[in-house]
Amino acid sequence: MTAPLDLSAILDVDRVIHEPARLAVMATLYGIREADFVYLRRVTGLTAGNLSSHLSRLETAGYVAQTKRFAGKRPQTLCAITPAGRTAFDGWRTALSEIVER
Amino acid sequence: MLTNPETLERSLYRTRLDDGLLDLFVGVAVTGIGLGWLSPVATLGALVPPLLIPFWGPLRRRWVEPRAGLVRFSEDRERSERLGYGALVGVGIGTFALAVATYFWTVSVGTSEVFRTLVPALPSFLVALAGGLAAAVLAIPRLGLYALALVGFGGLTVLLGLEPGWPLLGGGLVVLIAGSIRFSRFLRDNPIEKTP
Repeated sequence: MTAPLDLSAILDVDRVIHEPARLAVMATLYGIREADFVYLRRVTGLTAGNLSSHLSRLETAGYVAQTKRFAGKRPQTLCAITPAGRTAFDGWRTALSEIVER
Repeated sequence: MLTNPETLERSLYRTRLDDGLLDLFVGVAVTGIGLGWLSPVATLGALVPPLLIPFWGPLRRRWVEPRAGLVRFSEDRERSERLGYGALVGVGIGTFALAVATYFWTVSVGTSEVFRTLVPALPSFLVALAGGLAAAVLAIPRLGLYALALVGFGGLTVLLGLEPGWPLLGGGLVVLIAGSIRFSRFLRDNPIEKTP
C-alpha cells in the first residue's frame, strides 16, 4: 500500500499572500520603500474598491502599513511593506519553490 | 519575473519617467541652447537648463503624481540616482563649456580644414554624448535615441555647412515633439481619479 500523498506544503501556503491581487501588491511593495494608492492601482490594474479591500486584508495580517496624509489638498494613502510582510513574502517564495520543485 | 522581486523593482524603476515630462524638459533645454546659440549672445543658451531645474519638482507634483501616483524606491537606489543626476549636471556644464570654448578657439585660431568643417557639429555631438550617458545612468534607453538624433543633425550640419545652433535646434525640436506626444498620451490615458 502506497503512503498517502502529503499535500500539507500546498495546503499550508500563506493564503493571505497566495491570492493573485494581494500577491501583485506584495511583489510590488517588496522591492520599493513605499508607494501611494494611485501608483499601486496603476501598476496592478486593480479597481479602486478591489485594491482597497486587499490592502485592508494585508494590513490586518500585519504585512502592509498604510499611512493617510494630504499632498497639498489631495488626500493620499501611502503603503509600505512591513518587516513581518517581508518575512512572510520570503517564506511564501521559499514554500512555492519547494512545491514546484517536488 | 516574480521569482525575483529585484527584477520587478528594476522594471518599475525603468518606467518611472515614462510619462514624458522629462522628454519635454530635455526638449526645451536643448531647443533653448540651440536658439541661444543662434542669437547674438551664443552663451545665452546655457542659461536655459539651470532655469528649468526648479520647475521639475512642482510640475511632477502638479501634473504627474496625481495621475501616475507616488513611488519611493529604496534608499540605495535613490542615493545612486542623486549621484547620477549630479554627475549629469556636471557633465552637461562641462560639455557645454567645452563646446563653446572649442568652437570659439577654432574660429579665432587657424586649424586644419577638416577640423574646421567638423567643429560646428561639435556642440551637438557633445550634447549627444551627455544624452547617451544620461540614458545609461538613468536607465532610460530612449534618451539614447534622442542622442542619436542629435548626432544625425550634427552630421547634416557638417554636410550643409550650418552654424552650431541649427543641429541643437533641430535635435531639441525632435525631443520636444516626441515628449509632447508622450506627455499628452499620458494625460489622456491617466485621468485623475478620486481615491478612497
